[in-house]
This record gives sequence, structure tokens and C-alpha cells, in this order.
Amino acid sequence: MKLLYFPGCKLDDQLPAYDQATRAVLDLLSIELVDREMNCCGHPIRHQSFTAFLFSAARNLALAEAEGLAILTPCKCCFGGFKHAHYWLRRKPALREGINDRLAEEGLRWEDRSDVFHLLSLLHNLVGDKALRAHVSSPLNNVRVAAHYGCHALRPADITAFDNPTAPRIFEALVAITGATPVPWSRRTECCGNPLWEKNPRMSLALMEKKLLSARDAGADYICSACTHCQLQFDGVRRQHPQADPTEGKLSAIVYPQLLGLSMGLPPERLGLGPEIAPAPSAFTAHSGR
Amino acid sequence: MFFQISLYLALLVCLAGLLWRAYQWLSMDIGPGSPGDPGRRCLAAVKGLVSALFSPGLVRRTGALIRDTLAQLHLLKTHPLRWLMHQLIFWGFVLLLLFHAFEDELTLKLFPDYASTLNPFLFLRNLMGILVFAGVLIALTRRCFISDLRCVTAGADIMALALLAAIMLSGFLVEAAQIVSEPIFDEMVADYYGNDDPEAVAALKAVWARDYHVVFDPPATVTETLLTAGAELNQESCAVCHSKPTAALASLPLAMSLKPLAPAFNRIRADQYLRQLHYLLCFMGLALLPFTKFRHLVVTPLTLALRGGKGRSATPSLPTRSTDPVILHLNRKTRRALALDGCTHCGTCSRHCSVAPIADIIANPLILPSEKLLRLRQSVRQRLPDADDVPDPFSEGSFICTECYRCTRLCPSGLDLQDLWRAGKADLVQQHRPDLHTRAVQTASGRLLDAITASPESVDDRSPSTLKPPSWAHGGMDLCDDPSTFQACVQCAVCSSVCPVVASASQPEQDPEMGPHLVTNLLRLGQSDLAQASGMVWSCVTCYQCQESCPQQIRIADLLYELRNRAWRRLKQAPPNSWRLGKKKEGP
Repeated sequence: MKLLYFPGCKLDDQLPAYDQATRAVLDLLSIELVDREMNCCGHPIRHQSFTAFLFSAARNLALAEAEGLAILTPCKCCFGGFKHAHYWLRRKPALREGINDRLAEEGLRWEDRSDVFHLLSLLHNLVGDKALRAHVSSPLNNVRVAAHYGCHALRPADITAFDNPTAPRIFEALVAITGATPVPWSRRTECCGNPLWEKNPRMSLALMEKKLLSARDAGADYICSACTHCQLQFDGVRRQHPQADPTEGKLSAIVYPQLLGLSMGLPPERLGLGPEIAPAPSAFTAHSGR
Repeated sequence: MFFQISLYLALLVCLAGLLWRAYQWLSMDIGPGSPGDPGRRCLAAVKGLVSALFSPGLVRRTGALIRDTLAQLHLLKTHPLRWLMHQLIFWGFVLLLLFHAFEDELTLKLFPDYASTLNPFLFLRNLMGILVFAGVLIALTRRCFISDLRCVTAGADIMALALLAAIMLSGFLVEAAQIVSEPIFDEMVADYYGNDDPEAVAALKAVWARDYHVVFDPPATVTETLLTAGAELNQESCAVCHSKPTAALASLPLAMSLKPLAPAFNRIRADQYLRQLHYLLCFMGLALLPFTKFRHLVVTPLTLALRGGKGRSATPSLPTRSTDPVILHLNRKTRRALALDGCTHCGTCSRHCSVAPIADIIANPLILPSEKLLRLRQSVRQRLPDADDVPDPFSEGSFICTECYRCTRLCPSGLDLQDLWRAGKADLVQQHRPDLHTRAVQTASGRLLDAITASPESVDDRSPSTLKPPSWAHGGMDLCDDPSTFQACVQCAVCSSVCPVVASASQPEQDPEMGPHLVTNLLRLGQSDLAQASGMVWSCVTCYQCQESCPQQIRIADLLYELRNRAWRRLKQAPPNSWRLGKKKEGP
């Protein structure tokens, strides 16, 4: 399988570990990632200008069409952005034509021919349970994981078609494949707070604090996300603001491909796992004698 | 005399300019924290440099420095034509500078038989001139025909190229005028031949008219006898220092085309005027060095040296080799100032910028890194007022940047642009010019409403821009204008009960519009302005819980998005006093 890889803007500088882990895991699964220079997905500018958002997204989608490949992104905001763009480009013929005229200057055109996958939907829907399980060599028994869904992939479901928006199960199923135990927690589908980071830090931290409390109370060892922005919130932002961290640094934030990679026997350094986030020894000794 | 005075004047201006620049590198204040005085900054820079110099990896860094400054291989990766252009100009110019401008000081020492009119020097000088000229032509062509490069090309870029071209062209012209010059022939005969036998001079004239293209007035008599006699004399007295100008690839064709004008040229000694013009242009280049993009000749190697060559792993050595936090901080400030001067406005960053497509649509060129940097330089140097300009495209452009690192990775001069953008944003926040969303969150909804209503619902973008936004740029989902999208609301408030922002608002009673259902109600009442100013619109985290839970399938989150878009467009142009944050910073 060959996909056009869309890491999104933040990975290169701020979250290289997510990029590293995604590539390592997909490499193991023989999924080929094609790298092309693309532009911002458009999601961040959607607050300000719908058309700037739509044009940015359409340009990437048109680039994917020109390559004849589907897009794969590890970021739920990029994923949601592309899905919204698909939805509105189909419904707004005047905008679509205007955008296509602009794109034509670069020899590009959006014709609704390319699909978009999020890392989780790719793993769950296309790779499948069976193929994933076949690669799991060191299951993470006794590790309790709070799977954090991420809003922009989950909702609005009529646009994103990611999972059941009120009772999603994809992420827990994927966590279970690694051998870890997905814990039930009440705030699993709520917002991480990152969309308001820097704009309204107080609100942003308040939302994060509630989520962390909920995950901690559920007895999780890790809070696992599969979105660049959620991970930035649970990792970097949280580290800078310990006062908003009720877990006092426990409940490490981890991205799903790191979890999966560990269960597949990939060394932590290939997954960008540094000493500060390396698996809690207690959680892993249980299966090490296997 | 003229030569000496203008040379020393140019040198003086150049040195003074460089000193002034160096002072700026040590005093410019970009980014948070104390700027430190120039003395301490200078000391910190020296300490940083010394510790960088005596740190491991010196050999590797020196190698990288040579590779990046002389061979410029990193340019080859961006585009072969670009590398060729830069190499042509760089090597052509450097060799001319060393061996032609410093012929007495350098060339004569290396080659004791050197004469500027002898081959291979005559040939090489022409060749180098042609190389620079070709490089300039490639650069101009690129700037004219590559559309995204055309967008970021400014007068200063063209002026720099024009100056280079003028220096080369005037050089060719001097040589052409000297080739055809009768007065120079006469002088040479008087000085070196030392025989005024008219027959011998006539014989020489015949040879020089035919073989060396000197134009005599009246025309020299050329006969076989004279030529035979002249050839012998020429061999004895002139050929030691004079090759035939056949190898003057550029100046000979120029001389040939000048032939009809040559008698007039020779009468007024045009060669002397042209030579002074050539000197003046060269001196102008020298004097302008610290003030134009040519300063990258000094700044880029310095920046690269400090970073240990380009490349991701080469973390800036100046601040990181030292562990003293004060030195680190001061050196970071110095490096930022240096970066502002190291930019050659080559446009690479803007051509690869992740958010460049947005610049077109919202017609703000200050989104593009190369333009943003120019503006940052202006505002730091001239201490531009806090932005009484509304809209504030610099703040807008700065905060639209997603910090994707691409410009920093690709910058041929190795500037740490990412750090510069972050520092610039921090300064904007200090100056009460955060991005518009933050401003709106921090403004009480009453004042926000005043600001929104102060500018009309339908406005044109007045951003001072060469970019032409497309006609559809103000389009949208068109939900707010269509009552059928929100009329079905029964005010059940399910949206507000699932909204995480409502649940976390510390004082919901102080914000009567905190709740999505209240916003749809305002829309139902036709109060779009009130809705746009509501705290809900600006505090929405876009989690779509409301929309997903609405029993009436109202696209509530999309409505909030659209209201924010509309208010944004209006706030961008609202008079500053209607909602300026904080007090205006006191000017210096």
C-alpha cells in the first residue's frame, strides 16, 4: 500500500517523535509513505477565513489527486480539515469553480478523486485487527491506557465518518491489540483544550485539567492520543504548566504508534521515546520474563 | 586624485556602515527579556565564539563552512539554475575583485610578467565579466518569470542586480573605448617607442588599425609595405605588453560597434570619463555594501560559522556551547539581529512557505517569511509606532505562521528564522498586538460589540497589498444568512449542557452569551452583531459536541465558525481606539 504522507505543520519542529514512530510502525507494516512538499492543511486559518481554509485544503487534495494517492495524516485536525473541505467543496459549486481556477494556474484541479485517512482509521479499517495482531511480539500486558479520541476526527460524524460519535470504539480496539488494557473513562471524547491554547490559556488549561483528572481516576498509566495538537497539549503545554496537572507528572502522554511500536518489539529510540516518557518500568516488567 | 579621494571616501563609508551595523547587531532588541547593553552583548558574543572555536567538531564545521560559502552546494539542491546563477556571480566577481581590482597588490606579485593587456589576463577578465553578467541575467529572468518569486521581488533586489550589471557593463565599455583610442596610442608611442620617425609611426599605425582596431582620425593608411614594416616594429616594442584584443570576448565586439563613434569618443577622451564612471560604480558598490543585500557577503559566512554550516543537526553553536544562561540569552538576541541583516531576500522561504496559499486569499503579503522579515527589520530599526495601522497586517501575518520550520530548514543563509518568528510574536504580544482572536477573547463583549458595529458588515479588504484576492475570497458556508439553518432551534439547550466551555467557564453569570443555544437565539432574533460579539463565539473550542448532540440537527459549531469569520473581517478594520488592548507603549 502506498499513501501520500501529510505530517502537518507541527511535527517537524515540535513533535518529531510522533513522525518517527508513525514512520517506523508503517514501515514494519509494509505501508509505503510518499513525501511531497504540501501546504498547511488550512485548519488553523478556518477561524479567520473559510475560503482561505478551503483553498489551502483543496490545494493539498488536488496535489494528492495529481499523485494519484490517498492522503494519510497522523493529525486529527488536519484529517477533520480535509473532511470538511471535501464536504463543502462538493456543496459549493461557485467556490469550487473559483478555487479550481486558481489551482489551474499551477496545473492542479480538485475533482474529488482522492481519499483521506487518519492513522487510526487506516490501521483499523484498512490494515485490520488480524494483520496488526500478527506483528505484536511483546504485548504490553498490565499497562492501562486512557484512549483520547480527539474531536476533529470524531465530530461532526456526518462529515468525518470516523466512528460512532457518541460511543466510539476504534481507539480502544487498537489499544487492546497492543496487549494494553483500555480503561473506561468519562471524558474520553472531550476536547483536550489545545484549540484555545495561546488564545484563551485559562480555558485551555481548565479543559486539559478535567481530562487528566478523569483519566487518572480511571486508573490509567498513560493517556494515549493520535493527534498532533492533543499530544502537544498533554505533553508540552502540560509540562510548562504543572499547576494545571492534577497527576503531578504521572500519566505520561504517549501517541498511539509509540504504543503499537513497543508492542511490535521496536526499540524505544526508533519510536522517539526519550527517557522522560519511556514506559514506566513497573508496567513493563510484568511481561519481560515472558 | 579623483580616484584616491573617491576610493577612500567609499572605504570610509563602507567601514562606518559596517561598524554601525555591528553596533546594531549588539544593540537591537528582538524577543522577550532584557536586551543587555552593547558592551555586554559584545563580550558574550566573543565568549560564545571562542568556546565554539575550541569545541569538538571544529574540523567538521570548518569543512561545512567552506562547502556552504564557497561551493554553495545547498543551493544546488534547491534548483540547479539558482546555484549556477549564484556561482557565476560569486566566482566571477570575487576573481575580478582579487585579480583585477587588486592587480598591483596581488596579481603583479603572483605573476611578475602581468600586464592587463596581455593574454590570458585580457581573456580571463572578459570571461569573468561575462560570467557575472550572465549570472545577473539569469537572476533577473528568474525574478521576472517565476510567478511566486515575482511576488516577493522588490525594488532593492532589482537595484542590486542593476548595480552589478552596470559595473560589468561600464568595465566592458572602458576597455572598448581604450581599444579604439587614438590618444592612448599616441601616448604609448611617446612613452614606450621613443622614436618620432614619421614613417615608423605610420607603419605602427597601420598594424594597430588593422590588428588592434585603433580608430585613427584621419584613418591610418594601410598598405602591405607599411604592414610588413609595422609588424616588425610592433613585435619589438609593443607585443611584449599587448596581445591582440581578439580574446576580449565582450569588449572587442563592443569596440567594433563603437567604431563609427570612435573619432568623436577619442576627441573628448571618452575612455577617461568611462573609466571614472567604472570606478565610481565600483566605489558605490563598496560604499553601499553595509546598506544593501550585498552585506550578506559578510553576514552569511558569519551566521554559517556560528551555526557550524547549514543542516538540522548543526544547532547554533554560538549560544549552545556556553552554558551560562545570561550569555545564552544575550547571544540569542545578537543572532536575531544578525539574521535580520543576513537575509538576501532570495525568496526561498516564501516559495516554500506552508501558509503561502493563504497570503493570496486574504491578500496579506506579510504572511510570507521574506516579507515579514523585511517588515520586522523596519519596525525594529525605525521603531515603528505600535500599529496605528488598522488592519495590522504584520501581526496578522506573524500569527498565521504555523511554525512548520520549513523556511528555517531551507534558508540558504542558514538563518534561524523559527526563533526570529517566535521572538517577533512575543514582542507583538508585549506591544498589545496579539492575534485578533486573542484580542477578542481579552476584550469585554460590550467593547467588542462596539468595535464590530463600528465597521460595516460588508467591507473590502483594505490591506495594502500587491496580492489580488480572488472574487470568491469572502464566500463562506452561508449559514448565518439563511434562517432555515437555525430557525428549527427549540432552545432546548442540549448544546449548552454538553459544551465543555460552558462547563468550564469560571463566571458564566458574567457572560450572558456563554452557551451555543443563546447564540442561535440571537440569530433567530436577527441580532447577528450581538452574536458575533458573544463570548461563546470567541471561546468555542470547535469540538462539535453541540452540533453532534442537537436534536434538531442545527449546524451550531459551523454557525459559530461563520460568526467568528464575519466578526474577524470587521474587527480587522475597526478603528483602533474602539478596542485597543492596554495602553499604548510609550515611544522612545
